[in-house]
Amino acid sequence: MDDGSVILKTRPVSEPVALLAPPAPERKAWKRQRLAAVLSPIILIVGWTLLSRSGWFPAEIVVPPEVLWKTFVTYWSNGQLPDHLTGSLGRLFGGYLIGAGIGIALGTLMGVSKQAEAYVLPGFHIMRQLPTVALIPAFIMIFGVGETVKLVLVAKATALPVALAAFQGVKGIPRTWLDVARIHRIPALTQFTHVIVPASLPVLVQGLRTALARSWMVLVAAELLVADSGIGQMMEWGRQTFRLDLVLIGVVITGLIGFTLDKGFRALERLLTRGSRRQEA
Amino acid sequence: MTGFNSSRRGVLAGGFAAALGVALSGCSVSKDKAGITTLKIAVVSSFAGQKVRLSGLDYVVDKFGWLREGLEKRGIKLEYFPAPNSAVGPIVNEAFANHQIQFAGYSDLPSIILNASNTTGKTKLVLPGNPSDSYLVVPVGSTARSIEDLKGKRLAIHRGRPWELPLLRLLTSKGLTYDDFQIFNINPDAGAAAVATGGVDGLFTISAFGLEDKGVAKIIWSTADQALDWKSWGGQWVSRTFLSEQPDIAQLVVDSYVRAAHWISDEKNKDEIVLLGTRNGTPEHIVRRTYDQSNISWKDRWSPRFPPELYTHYREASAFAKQNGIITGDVDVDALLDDSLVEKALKTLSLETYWDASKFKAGA
Repeated sequence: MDDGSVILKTRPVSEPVALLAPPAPERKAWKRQRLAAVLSPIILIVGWTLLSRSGWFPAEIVVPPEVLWKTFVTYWSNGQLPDHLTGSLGRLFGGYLIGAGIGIALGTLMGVSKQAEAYVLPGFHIMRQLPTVALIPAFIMIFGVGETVKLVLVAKATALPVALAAFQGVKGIPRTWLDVARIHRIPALTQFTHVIVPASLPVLVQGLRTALARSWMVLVAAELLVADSGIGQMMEWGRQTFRLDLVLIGVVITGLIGFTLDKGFRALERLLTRGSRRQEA
Repeated sequence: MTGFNSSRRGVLAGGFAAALGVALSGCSVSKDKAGITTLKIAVVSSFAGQKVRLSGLDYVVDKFGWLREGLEKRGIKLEYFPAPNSAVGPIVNEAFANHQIQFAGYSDLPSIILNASNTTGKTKLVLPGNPSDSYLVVPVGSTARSIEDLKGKRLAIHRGRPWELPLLRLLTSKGLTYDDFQIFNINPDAGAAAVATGGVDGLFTISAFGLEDKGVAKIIWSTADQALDWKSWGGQWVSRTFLSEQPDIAQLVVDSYVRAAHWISDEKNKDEIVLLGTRNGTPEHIVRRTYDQSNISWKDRWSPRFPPELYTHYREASAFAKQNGIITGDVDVDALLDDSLVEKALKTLSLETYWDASKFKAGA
């Protein structure tokens, strides 16, 4: 029971940030990383500016940053870019929530039940090998070209890694913890909420993070092929109409959103793992 | 640890320098406009192994080796630059803008888009190609019989592709706009899957016979019965820079293509061309139907001449593209179409009277 209670204490997500500050040597490395994080985009922008001014590439292909900025401002102020963004993010979060829900439920079920594992896991491994993008034409035939197909694609891209992470997370819980819980006749629901969920959370969050990044890429790819709005669609239209400035803005926004989502999840992951490390120390 | 970091930094810096070097060297090749050592012609193509699979005029030019031999005498290599079916326009336009190719065979709207931009890679149409048809198809069980019946419903079109122009024209002729429909901008394969399963109520496409053949969709309208200027009408385009710098090589290309057009236009060679069309898996009867259903004769279909309808077509197409926000700049159609090379080729090959531009008009 002791082990289980440690887990309960170590997992609160709302732990004060001050307690999580890294120790001194780590802080130095952390500062270096922060500097690199600020410097690398600056280097990229300066390099891009130099390349666009070099005359080596036509300005229509390597679009100068100031032109990109102008296009960005125009498309932002005329409402087109916010519309595309809202469309894409709405699909992403909608599909992600559905996929994550299914993934967590199935993964946990496989983790706690040998029978469920035997039935579901082989199918999951087969599905995992199928690139979601390759399924787009088949999904269009089944789900049409409306919003459903995009939600299903995102949900599929999310559900598989989340299910596997949940499965691994639950499988990784030391047998003794569950045995102790059983000996103390803790009800199944309490076992689930107080032992299984907190113990498998770090692995699960990692899976949720991977899934979000993957879903975002799948969504943009799907929007390139089938959509009436969204960042992918804006890029597709830009490419067809030889507006590479629009394509590049789409690329930058896709990258920034992917980066932000990943950073957010990493912070959450750190919060959880540091908590447990501190407790172990 | 420091050693590892510095060596890693070294590797990174080396990698960056190498990447930049490769980018710049590729760039310097593409910028080598004058005195080319390789002539690159972009073709809409599939691959057979590593080899580009040619069709139509490109196939005949290659089969007889006229161009390859003519270029070899001048120390120039001939290379085909394949543009996959899914993104012909963007790939060819980017290649012209980057001065990577000198010639390309592709259609009207993407070339209008390129020439309406501020690029230094502008082009000219020096040999008109086969006018091709577009179709409005609906699911087989649909009761729709015209575009008006699809008002308020789901219509699929791959926007920015050549067949968007006849659709815009059809809509305008009926007093309709995109706002009257729920438009889905999807590629032809996705569009075909969607119309087959009733995911959309209508699809505007260039590949309709296969869908009708499989019994999953039916054609309710096509440009086949319309005047010539309704059709998609591209051809061989040349980089303006290249044309002004090496007009003799450009003329050699046009001579070879006119020779090929003359060879194909003979009815006895039709079967060979039809068979070529089946190599991508299209059944022979569909390839034949595509050629035969048109109101243009086999001979005139391959005419390299510039009939008056071609000029009208490009004027109207540019205006439609601008009205619908596909382009923002203007296109000077007189600078876009250049019949001088074809006329010279016809004279050189003694074919001045073989095709008649006015007959072409009558055929339509």
